Amino acid sequence: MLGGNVRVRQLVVLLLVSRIFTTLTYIPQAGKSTSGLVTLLVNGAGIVAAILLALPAFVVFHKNKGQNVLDLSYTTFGRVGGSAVAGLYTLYFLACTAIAAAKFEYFVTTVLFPQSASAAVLFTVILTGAVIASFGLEGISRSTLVVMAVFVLSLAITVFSVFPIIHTYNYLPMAMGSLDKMVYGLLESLSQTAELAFFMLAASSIKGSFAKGYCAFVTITFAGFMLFYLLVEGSMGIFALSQPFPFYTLASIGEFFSFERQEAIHVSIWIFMGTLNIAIYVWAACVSASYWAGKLKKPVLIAAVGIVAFGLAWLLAGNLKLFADVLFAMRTLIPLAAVVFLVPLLLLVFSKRRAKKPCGK
Amino acid sequence: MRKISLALVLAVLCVSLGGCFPVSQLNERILIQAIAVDYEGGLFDVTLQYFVAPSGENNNTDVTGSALISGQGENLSEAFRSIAVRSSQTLFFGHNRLLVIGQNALDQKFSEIIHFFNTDHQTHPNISILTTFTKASDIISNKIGQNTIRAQEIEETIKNVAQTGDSFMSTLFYVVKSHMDPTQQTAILKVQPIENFDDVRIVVDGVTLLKDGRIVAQGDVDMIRGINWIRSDIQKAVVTVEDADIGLISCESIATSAKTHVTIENGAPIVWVDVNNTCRVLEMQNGDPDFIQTKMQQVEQEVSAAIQAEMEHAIDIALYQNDCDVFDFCNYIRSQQTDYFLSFEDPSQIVPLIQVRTSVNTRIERVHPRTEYR
Amino acid sequence: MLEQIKRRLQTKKRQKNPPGQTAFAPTNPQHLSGELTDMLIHIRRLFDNSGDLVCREIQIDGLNIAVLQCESMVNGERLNRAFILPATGLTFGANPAQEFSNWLQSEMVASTDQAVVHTYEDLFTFIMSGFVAVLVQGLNYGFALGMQGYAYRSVSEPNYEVNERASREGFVEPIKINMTMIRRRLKTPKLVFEMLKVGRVSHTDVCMCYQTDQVSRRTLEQVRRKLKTIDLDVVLESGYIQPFLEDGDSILFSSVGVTERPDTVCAKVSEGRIAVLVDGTPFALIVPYLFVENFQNFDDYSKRSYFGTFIRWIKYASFLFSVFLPGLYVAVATFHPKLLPPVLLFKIAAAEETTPFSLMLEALCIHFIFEIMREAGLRLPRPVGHAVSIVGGLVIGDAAVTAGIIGAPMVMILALTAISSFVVPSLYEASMVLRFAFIVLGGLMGLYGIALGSMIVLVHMCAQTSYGIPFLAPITPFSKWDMRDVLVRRDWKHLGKKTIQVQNMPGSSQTSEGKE
Repeated sequence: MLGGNVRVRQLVVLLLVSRIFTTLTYIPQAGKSTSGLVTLLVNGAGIVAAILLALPAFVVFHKNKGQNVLDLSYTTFGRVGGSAVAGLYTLYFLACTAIAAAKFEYFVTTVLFPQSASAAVLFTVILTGAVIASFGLEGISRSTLVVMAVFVLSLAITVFSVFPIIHTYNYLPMAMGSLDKMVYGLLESLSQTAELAFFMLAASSIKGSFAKGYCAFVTITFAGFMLFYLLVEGSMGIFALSQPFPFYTLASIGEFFSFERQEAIHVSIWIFMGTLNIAIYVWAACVSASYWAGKLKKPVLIAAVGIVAFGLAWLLAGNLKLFADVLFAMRTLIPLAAVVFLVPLLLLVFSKRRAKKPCGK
Repeated sequence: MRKISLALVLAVLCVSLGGCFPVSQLNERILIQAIAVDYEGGLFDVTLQYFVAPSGENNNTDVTGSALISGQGENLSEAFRSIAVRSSQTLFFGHNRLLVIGQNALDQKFSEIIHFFNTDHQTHPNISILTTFTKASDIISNKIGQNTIRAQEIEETIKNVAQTGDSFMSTLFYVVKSHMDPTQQTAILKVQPIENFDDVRIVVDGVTLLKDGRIVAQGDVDMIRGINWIRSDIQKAVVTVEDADIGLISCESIATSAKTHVTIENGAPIVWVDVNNTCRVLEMQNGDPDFIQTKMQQVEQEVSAAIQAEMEHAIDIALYQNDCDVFDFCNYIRSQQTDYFLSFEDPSQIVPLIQVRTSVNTRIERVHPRTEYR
Repeated sequence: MLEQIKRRLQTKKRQKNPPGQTAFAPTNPQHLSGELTDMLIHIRRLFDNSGDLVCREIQIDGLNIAVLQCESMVNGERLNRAFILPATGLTFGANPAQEFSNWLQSEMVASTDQAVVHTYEDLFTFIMSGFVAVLVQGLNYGFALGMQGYAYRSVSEPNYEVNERASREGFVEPIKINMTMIRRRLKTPKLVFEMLKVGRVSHTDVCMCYQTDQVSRRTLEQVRRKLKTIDLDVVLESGYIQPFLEDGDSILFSSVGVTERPDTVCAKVSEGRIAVLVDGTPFALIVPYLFVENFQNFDDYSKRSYFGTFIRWIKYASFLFSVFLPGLYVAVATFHPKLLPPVLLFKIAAAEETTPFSLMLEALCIHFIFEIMREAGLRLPRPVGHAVSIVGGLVIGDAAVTAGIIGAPMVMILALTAISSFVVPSLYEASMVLRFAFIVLGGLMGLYGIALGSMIVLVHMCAQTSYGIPFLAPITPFSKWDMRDVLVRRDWKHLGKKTIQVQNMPGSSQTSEGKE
């Protein structure tokens, strides 16, 4: 299931595409995050925080090239410990799949098909994600170049069309930001970047430096957030807060020569990215599950993960309060810190202890 | 074989899921082009101008393919529902270009109306919002000869006139943005139907100012130009001045830009609006061969004075008389004098304190050689 | 229980075809006995007295000789002139059979293509390939003389790969002629033709053609192994063996190319690819085959580079139109009409006002009818073909629209789609299937459905390989150097700078020797 060689550039682009979708479908009313120029500070802090989170992982993967966090867990903690870690990652990625699918469903049923059944949207998108995941990481990562090229073109058109209406006075000054909102914003943007955990799993498939790839992804991602913020707030100002999906509204207000009302085309491109977003989480959940359920064949594993993710997503999509609680739980950063920071740290500590033990004992 | 079986199963599943995505064919939809909202006697009266294929059997159809339908309700949702029930078709707002709001509806139900359209996922943020003294339905139901004036024609009229500064695009985006911002107030373009020979045309009649969702003032057509000069929204305005020797001179702006900066003096914000205007002379009543050497500078000053007068007129009516900041001055204060802005608990208290200083610098770039009989 | 049954079946299969033996190789080849009468009786019995077997027994200086041939497959005049006449003048000494054998092998120059045959199976293969078989009393082997004279189609312009400025020669059915056409164009000793036989019953000649200094050894070995393990009775067309050469993950797009042109084969072979020629068909197979090659043809390379680039882009656009246009039209008009400019939308609405079916159903029906007409046009005799086009044009183009069954915009969409699909004929099958799929997806789920379907197809294509080379290379994985013949067509001064080897494409696991 893992197999294949993926160049680190390809992986970075893949995860970037996945993360961009989360940004494009961000709902301002869902949280109390900050707005204004202070967002730039928050994103800068986000780069630093994300890199600090992965410091143990840098050391671990530098010492153990060609292995991922689960391989190392089995080696370091033994079968039981390794299975527990694999179970943790499986649960985490299942949760990410369900949340991503529920957010995707919310987006599609708001802007495209308000009267459609949420189960239908969830089913189709998870099914597509599962089918894509079955093609393997190499195939998925190769496809991201095409998707990214199309997205960049659509982004360029959007930027070009809204540029005339960008005014600097739309940006709320830094002094209007507050510390608690900054912290909230930082936690929110980090917690939604589950791609950081994906790196831990894909470390064995990367052809290139893990640390460089991770840092490049983090830097480009948060720099991208800054760009999106500058675009959205610069052109729409306070109007953005009245929109469920500000970037979608941005795409719709722009006029490109005589072409207007082309947001459906942009949304179609975002759907490409959304399916990749879900596909990589399904893939990661399958890979994690294969460590403790290795006897199951690949199609059965993918189907099982898809069914569980569908069930969870349906639960979330049908219960807004539960969805909000789950998002809050993710926002505490505990789950992300566990998979990105804690497990590699434990690997580092326990592997050092094993190394210190004299031979024969 | 397994792959083919799986593909077939998936195909059947997808087809069966198709029923979960409700669909209306084109002939099952009302393709709305314009909406007029009036409010009388506690009821919303909504009139729709929609497209009907010329071969249709609708008696309201004219050659251009536009028809009208109306409905009433206690709120907008009920009014639209009554229309849908009467027509037995789905309403499609995606191609709606125009929203005309009657004065009564604007004054009493402004927030409700814009909230409804802002939250509708089909309505485009760039639809034009207009108001009128007459009934809103009169605007979209007027006819030129046999044919209803189509929403596209009204919108084109507004757009074309906006280039000369005599109107502006008060879109849903702009209206919602100004309504949400506590420091900004809203200006909505006012139109009226006028008779033109045997036809009826829709013309821009002025501007309506709203504050906290209520109408506070009506501005005339001259005020619109003033607003546009300050917002730098003019592409080719024609300014006519009179000179003692030359008579009437008309100059057309080629490029205009307005720069705004803010200073604080004696606890009050002073907004400096500097307009740079490049223009060319279109027409002179009496020619002067030495115009460039002798008269040009004077004409430039006169044109600048005329523009400044229009700006002052707009500022006077909106800001000084009615405390309506439709010029984004508060946003500039927030951006450039943040500490001063933050010193107010309620930022709307800044508006009455604003003083504006305008200056206009006109440069004539082209003077066409005079065509004279030899 | 099921496992037991499976194991038993597998054992039986292995017994039937022991490993190491090719599928068509007989288990017990029968050797020639040397007794002429017995041999002839045996041959007639095996041939079941078939009417096309001609057996002529002659006596030369007391030596009994039999000349066997398939009727009308041999050049009779050459046979008489080069063999019969000189042979009848021979005289022998003490060992006539051996003397005759020596004369035949060393002195007689009837043909350069001569073989010694030891078994009946080989004898039959040669006879049925147009050779003349000579059996001699007292010799337990025979001779096969290449004197073919069967009728075959003359070399003509290929029907399915028409070019403006390129050779007018296309392959024909006899494999030997095709081999000469390739050899004439690549005059290098590195060009190798490796002959094989495929088909238990048909013993069809198959030839692997490659350049030893360009080809990847691993790819060569893979192709050779696949050809040798083909388990078919009869191979009449290259399409029979094409699935055996494809990689397992090819569903929609084939990773084996097909061409009718010798110049194309030469170009591909010089890039490290392997061509597989099959006797009896003018269509050669090329492996490995990448997606971008579907958009490359000879005209691109013989015309100016800017024009070649323009034509390349037209092909890309045509392919996208042929796949997506009907689905997009259905999706947009049904689910997202606000994408259409108002005037266009009103015209479409007016046209669809009176049609009884939904847009999706209209699209499916009209495209299906078009496929029927296309198939009919292929199979009908030429004189009747005109009638079909008239009926088709009238039925679809005029009557259906006038009757209000189908809208005029849909007919336009069909016309544009149909024309576009013929610009890249090698992708016609895949584009047809995808077209129908996207019409259904667009009609049921709008742009959302099309986006999901496109994503699956895209990732599938990205995951597909052709002998270890990513199918979408060099688009992804990206190679700037290799894109000079994909996005644009650089002129020959640039293209000729570096020798291209397909196995060195980015992401390939079949790098050329020396670089591994």
